[in-house]
Amino acid sequence: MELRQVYEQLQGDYDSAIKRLMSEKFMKKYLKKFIDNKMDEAIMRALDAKDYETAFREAHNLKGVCANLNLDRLKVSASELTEALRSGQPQGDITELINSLNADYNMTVEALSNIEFS
Amino acid sequence: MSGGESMRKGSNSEKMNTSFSMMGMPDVITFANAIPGGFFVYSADETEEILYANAECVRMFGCNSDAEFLALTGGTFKGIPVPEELEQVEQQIKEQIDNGRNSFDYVEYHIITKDGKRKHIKDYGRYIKTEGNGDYFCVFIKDNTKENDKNQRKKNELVNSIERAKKNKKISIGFALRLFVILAMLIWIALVGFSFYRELDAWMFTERRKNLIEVNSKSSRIVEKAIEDAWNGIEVYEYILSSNEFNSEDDLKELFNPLHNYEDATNSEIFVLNKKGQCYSSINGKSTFSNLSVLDDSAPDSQITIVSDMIGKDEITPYLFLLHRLDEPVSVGSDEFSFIAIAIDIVEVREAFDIDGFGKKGHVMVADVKDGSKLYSKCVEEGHTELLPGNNIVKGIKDNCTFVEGGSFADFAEAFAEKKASAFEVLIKDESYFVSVVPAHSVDWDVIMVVPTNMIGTDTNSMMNGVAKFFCMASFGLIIICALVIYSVIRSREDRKEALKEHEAREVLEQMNDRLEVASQTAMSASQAKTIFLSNMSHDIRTPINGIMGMTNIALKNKNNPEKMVECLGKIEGASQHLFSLINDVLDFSRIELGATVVVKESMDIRKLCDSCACIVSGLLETRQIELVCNFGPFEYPIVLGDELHLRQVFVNILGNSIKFTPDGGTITFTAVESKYDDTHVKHVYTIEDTGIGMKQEFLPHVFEAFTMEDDGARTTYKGSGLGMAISKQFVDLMGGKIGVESKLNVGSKFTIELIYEIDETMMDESLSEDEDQEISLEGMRILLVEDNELNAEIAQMILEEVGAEVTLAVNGKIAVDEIINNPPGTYEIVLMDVMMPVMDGITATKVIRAMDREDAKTIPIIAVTANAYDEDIIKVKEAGMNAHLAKPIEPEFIIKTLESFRG
Repeated sequence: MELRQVYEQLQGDYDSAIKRLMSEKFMKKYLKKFIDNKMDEAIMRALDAKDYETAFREAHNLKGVCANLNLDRLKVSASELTEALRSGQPQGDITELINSLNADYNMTVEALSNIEFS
Repeated sequence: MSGGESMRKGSNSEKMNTSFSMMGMPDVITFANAIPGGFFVYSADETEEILYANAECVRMFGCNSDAEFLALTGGTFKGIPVPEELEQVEQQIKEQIDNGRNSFDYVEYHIITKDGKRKHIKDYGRYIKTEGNGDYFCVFIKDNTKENDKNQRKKNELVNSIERAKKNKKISIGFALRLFVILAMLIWIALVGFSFYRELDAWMFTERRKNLIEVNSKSSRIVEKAIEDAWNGIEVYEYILSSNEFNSEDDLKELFNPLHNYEDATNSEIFVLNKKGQCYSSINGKSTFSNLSVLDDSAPDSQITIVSDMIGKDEITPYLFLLHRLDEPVSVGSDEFSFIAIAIDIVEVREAFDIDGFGKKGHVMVADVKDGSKLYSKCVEEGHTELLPGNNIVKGIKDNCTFVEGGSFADFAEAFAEKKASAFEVLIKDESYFVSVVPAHSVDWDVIMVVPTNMIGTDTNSMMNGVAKFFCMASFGLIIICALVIYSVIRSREDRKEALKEHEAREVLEQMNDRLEVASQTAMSASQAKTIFLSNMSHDIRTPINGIMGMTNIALKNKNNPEKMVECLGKIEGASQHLFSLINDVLDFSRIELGATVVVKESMDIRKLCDSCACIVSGLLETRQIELVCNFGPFEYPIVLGDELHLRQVFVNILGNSIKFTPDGGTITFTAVESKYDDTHVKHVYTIEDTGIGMKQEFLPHVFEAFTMEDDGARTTYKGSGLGMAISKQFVDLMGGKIGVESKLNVGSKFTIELIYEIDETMMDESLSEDEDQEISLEGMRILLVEDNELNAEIAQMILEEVGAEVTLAVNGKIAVDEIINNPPGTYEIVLMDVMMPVMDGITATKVIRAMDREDAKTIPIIAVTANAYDEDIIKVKEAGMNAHLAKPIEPEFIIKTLESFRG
């Protein structure tokens, strides 16, 4: 599948991404890294351990990466969870936010699996 | 309540009265005021005093209180209907109540409200008798104005359509009239044609008749002449006879011979005859004459006849036979002759009867007038079939001819008998013939010609005239018809055109009316808005002025309290800035309205413009936790001709609004996209999108109107002028562009501006080289990149290395500090410091570096890279000694430019 189509599927801004990363080659490189990093797992581990500071940092990192790669939809849920954990303790019931994050992450990764990372 | 129930169901009145009287008066009043219509009570005596009227009734009369209502109506029912209708209304009520069984009445009338409005009212009244409390009317009134108007309008429409129909009828009457005239003309032409044919016939008949009579007359003249000559001849002979003595026949013969020779070559014979029948002829000598009756004493002295058999002749040829009784008988020898006769060959006359034109078909006859006997018939002579057989011509004609034209048989017989020249058209055996009769005057004879009609010519000239006359008359009729037809067509077309024009004119008028209404409404609302604005404005201007004055006062009173003074001054600064922008807005707007604002076309660099806007705005963002995302370009033609000043104003205005209406934690995205428009122009689409509180859909069409502001949760102390958006739109319009807005409540707003610029050709080459310069401006720059996230670090490193920089990575603040320590000054030209990091964050690391005892500790540029302004106080960033900050996610151009600006 074309990279632009993939971005459409995961609701990301392809044009901004290619402007920043300058070529599809680089984009694919970093997208592959993104998939390999499995950042959601890091977040979930931290949450399970009730290590909210780490969870916050990891969520914040995820948000940053999404911003860089224009994985815009995932960025939103990452951002929301980040804010909810900013103070060091979860603000309110974060179960919904966690579920959204997981859903968006899976959706993103699934879309990215259509790329030929030759 | 049960009372109400039973009132509606109309059951037992006793029950109703009980419940009703159990309600206190206040309850009744509440009840009455709730009635969906006007309700009032007045006494049924001469005064008709109004005892009660409910709130709705009062309102219907345009009054605000009972007192006003009573004043308006004079406190009596007589004051309710308009004066001109009062008498009739009272009459109707009285009649209905008197004649009805249930004391109900229904009337309609007009009222005039307190503010002069005329309303149409339906009035339902009931007459109530009480025992000992007087009688009164309870009345329910309904405002029927709208329906009445509707009905009026319908009536008017009906009247109009009737008028129109009448008009059409008038038109159709005119049309019918014209049609009638055309028909009449057609009939007239038909009649003319018809009568023409008849005339033609008659004329042709007349012509032929004339012709034939002429021919006939000629023949008759010839006959007459011949006879005259014959009589002259006899006279001569008589004289000779009387002057000679004849002793014997020979003497007579002697005489006759020369006489005979005297006669020209015709076969004529001279006779002398006596009563006894003895005769002596010049040719045959002595002979006997058989027809003794003509020699009788009683016979006339002169006689003439045509004989077809002659004594001693072989052929049967007709001869003119003239006989005269001698004055003195002549004796020849022993005989005595008392008559002289001459027989002339008819051949002379025959020629006269030969009418070439008639050919063999023409018949000429000579008849004796006395009895109609046929004396001579040319046909017989020539041996053709006799057309009118028999010896009597008159009879022959009577039997064989059917008279068609010119007269009847009786007329012919008359003409024949009275020797009048005449001609008739007849049918003989179904063939058309002309019969003419012309007398030979010196004899009692008629010459009759019977000729086939088609043999007789007509005078063509005269015919042509007749035809010409007919055509003239017919053409005249046709012309009239054509003229009428054309006239009606033109008239109807004109009528239609007029009707159309009228209709159009009316439509135009209506349209103009509508537009005028709209315009007046707009003007009114505009003027209203201006009034509101002015009233608001005066408050909005006064507030900061008051603030300034107040603060100045306090400051002056606190000369010894510098802190307080500074605080006041700060507030004064804020207030004056606000006032300044307020006044600027108003001035800008007025200038635009006046048309005094001019939009220039000067060379500008769109990239610089966008950046400066972003910079200005980031200043506004200092105190807010809002993320600004900028996406400018790429620009193939960054130098264009435009109005930088006003465009910046527009951008800053909209960005300012977005900041105002976006709560902390939100994002504002400012993008600029270039596309080629044509060979000399580019199109720019700018969008400013925020995740703010948005606007109501109903407000969107009014966003760019002057003096409109949606009720906002403005965080500023002072209200805006409401002109910002209007001014922005005016500028964009003046630049020939488009501005639009999309918004959703609590989601955000997006402003889009489209502008078309002319490319500044003169700057083209320079800009290209500029760009190129920019592209490779980081060549060799040694950068220390401090970023904990691997992916982010890789991306940043990649971007920087792409432009030739040398990047060293440190994954947290501590490692960064170590890097600095472990490397001599100048190793790194610049540090890109992510703020959010584990172990040691960016702020701390910066502080540490700044505190170091190295020559580049204070000078080395450290740029903060922040995910959003919420993460850390930007003040802290500044306090820590960082030189600038960049927003994440990394925008290559932005970073490169920023780094480049810090270069050596």
